[in-house]
Amino acid sequence: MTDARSHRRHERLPRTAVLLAAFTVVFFCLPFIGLLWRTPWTRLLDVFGDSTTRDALWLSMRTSITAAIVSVFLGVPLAWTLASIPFRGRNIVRSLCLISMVLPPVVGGISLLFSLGRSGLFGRYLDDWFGFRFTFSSWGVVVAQVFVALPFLVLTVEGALRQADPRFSEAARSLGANSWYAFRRVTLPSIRSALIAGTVLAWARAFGEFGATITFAGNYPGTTRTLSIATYLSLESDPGRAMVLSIMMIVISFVVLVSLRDRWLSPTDGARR
Amino acid sequence: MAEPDRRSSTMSLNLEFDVRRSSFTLHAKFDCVPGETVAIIGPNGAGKTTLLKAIAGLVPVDDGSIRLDGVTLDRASSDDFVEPDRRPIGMVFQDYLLFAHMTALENVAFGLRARGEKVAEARRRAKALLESMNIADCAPLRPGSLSGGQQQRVALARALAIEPRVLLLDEPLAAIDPASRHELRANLSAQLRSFGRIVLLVTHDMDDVRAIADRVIVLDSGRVVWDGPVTDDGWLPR
Amino acid sequence: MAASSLTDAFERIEADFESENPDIDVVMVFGASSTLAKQIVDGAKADIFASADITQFDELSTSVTGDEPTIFATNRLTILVKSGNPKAINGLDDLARDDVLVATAEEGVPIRTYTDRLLTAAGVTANFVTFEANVAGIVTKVSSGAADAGIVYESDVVGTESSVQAVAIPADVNITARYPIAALTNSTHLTDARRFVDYVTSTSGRATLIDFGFGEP
Repeated sequence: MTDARSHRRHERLPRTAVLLAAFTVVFFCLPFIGLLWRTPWTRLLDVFGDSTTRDALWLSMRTSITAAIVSVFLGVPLAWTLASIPFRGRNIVRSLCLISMVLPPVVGGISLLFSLGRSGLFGRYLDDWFGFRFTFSSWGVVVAQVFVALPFLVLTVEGALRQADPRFSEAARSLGANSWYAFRRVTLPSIRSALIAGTVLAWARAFGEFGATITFAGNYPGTTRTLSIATYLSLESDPGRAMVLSIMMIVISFVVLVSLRDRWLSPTDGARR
Repeated sequence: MAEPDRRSSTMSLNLEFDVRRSSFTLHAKFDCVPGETVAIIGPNGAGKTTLLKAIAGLVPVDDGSIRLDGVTLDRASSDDFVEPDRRPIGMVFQDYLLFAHMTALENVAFGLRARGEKVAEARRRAKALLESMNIADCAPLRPGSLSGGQQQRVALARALAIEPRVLLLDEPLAAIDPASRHELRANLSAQLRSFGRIVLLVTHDMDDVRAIADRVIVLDSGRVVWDGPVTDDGWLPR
Repeated sequence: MAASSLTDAFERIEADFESENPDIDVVMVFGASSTLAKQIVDGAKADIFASADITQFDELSTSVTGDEPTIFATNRLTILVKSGNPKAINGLDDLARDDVLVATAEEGVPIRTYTDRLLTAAGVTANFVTFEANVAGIVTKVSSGAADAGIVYESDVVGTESSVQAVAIPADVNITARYPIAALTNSTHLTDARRFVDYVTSTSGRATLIDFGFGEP
């Protein structure tokens, strides 16, 4: 097959679109190039080897992954309800659940502090009855992360559910599946790509979360000092370290995103084979 | 042969209901007994698919009731409604609606597993069913890799696997190319004859009616305008 | 650019100064002095720098030149607790108690430097549970009840809602923070900048600062 022929395999885009796309790629690459240029590479080993760095990284990984899992368990039923049941006030409920995407994270953190914090409206009962506190604990970090990350998953999954063909779950019901079985074995697999994308998005948001975390959970090495907090605060006293930590966060996120294979993101309804 | 008394027989499907749609109201009033294959024909938009969906429980009735073997499946005046997954009814849909992420075998086993059957047993029965329909080699394939005729038979097997008392077919041969249709129609006819239960078959194709059905009901603008047997001499359309 | 602890006082001074000098528009940027110093070194266009700590000026002097800094106010430290003092915190020693959760700032923020100096001199190891990004974070943690106590500037207690109160630190151990201010020579509005600096150090400026809890320079 000649070169000209192989070009025909995909759709021919107008040149303007491709140029704009190229420009956007450059726009996103420039900050990284700038960072790579200024980073003191000689500091790499001592920053990586530092136990505070490792603590922060380990904390960030385990809280963000937990937050992603919690987001799936809470977000999928919410998305399912919002997509399926046209109850009164549905728009308002949906907006309330998504609002943390729009607010500055610190505002989210403050709200959490005054509701679930130690003396908060509900938090005080947690403290009085169970002696449990979210503030200054790793669970507080998870809560803050879930608060900001969950809407991304809900948005993605609800959108996909609304687009899914309802006839397949009807077929499943007619065969004897109750609504949960039909949802689990037919509908969810059919929106697999959106579910994966939504989960990764939620994870990424949780991993990078800073404002709500430090406001609600505080900053203490080992328990609440996540990598993103450590990076931001390093800027005050040790910019070189901050740059190395930034590189670390970028590399981790990049690895996760790159490992999202193309085929996981394609539709699975059999439309394209 | 005397007309079977469909109304009073305890093993029968008794329909007397209305479903209100935006462009028409479906008034269904007839009964079916086991061993009968009833063809439902009529112009587009006459309510044929709505009829099947109401029987399957995918659409609730607005008036009247649906009863099967003496059990009320749906009654508008009270709260009686049996969920579609609890009805002993199997349906073959237009476009088949096979689950793309499952193999043919898993598709056929789906209903059994959904109703609580263990994996191994469900697969065994599904395999046997596919074998009896001569499509055993389709078992490990995904629907996307199957021909139209194979998909149709898998869809039929999937509905038969749950051993329903009523089988509903919505234009089962519509997507088949004319060349293969004759053979598939003969297959379908044989399958349904050995089924021995109540079959309702929606179709546009008069050849289907002649080859497969014992009785034909004509639906127009939501109303039954003809209900009569299919004999060797044909049948009398309106 | 001014230290965040100066926020309320400088906003009033800005209003007063602008009403006396309608042709000059003062733009305020507040933040942790250490952060601001970094930004100025990185090229932020600042005409004036007012810091909570003289060391920030030393940071600057290597790359940015300015007038000789004048100390225009002082601030002392105090312990901040929830209104009603539910944990009965009466002195620095109480901060070492296991049942008292103390909030402070991250290393590098001036309030932390002062706090460390204060506590080392007093021989107290406080029960720190969090290292906030700035003083505002400390105040939030205490006023929300998440932390039982924090060490902040006296000026931070003025104007807070009724949810917090101050517990005094004995004068003999307390630290005095000295606030220097100077116009930066690469400012494009040097004359105006110097006029503002003069206003801050004038009697009216000083009176405002005292209103907001600062001490005489």
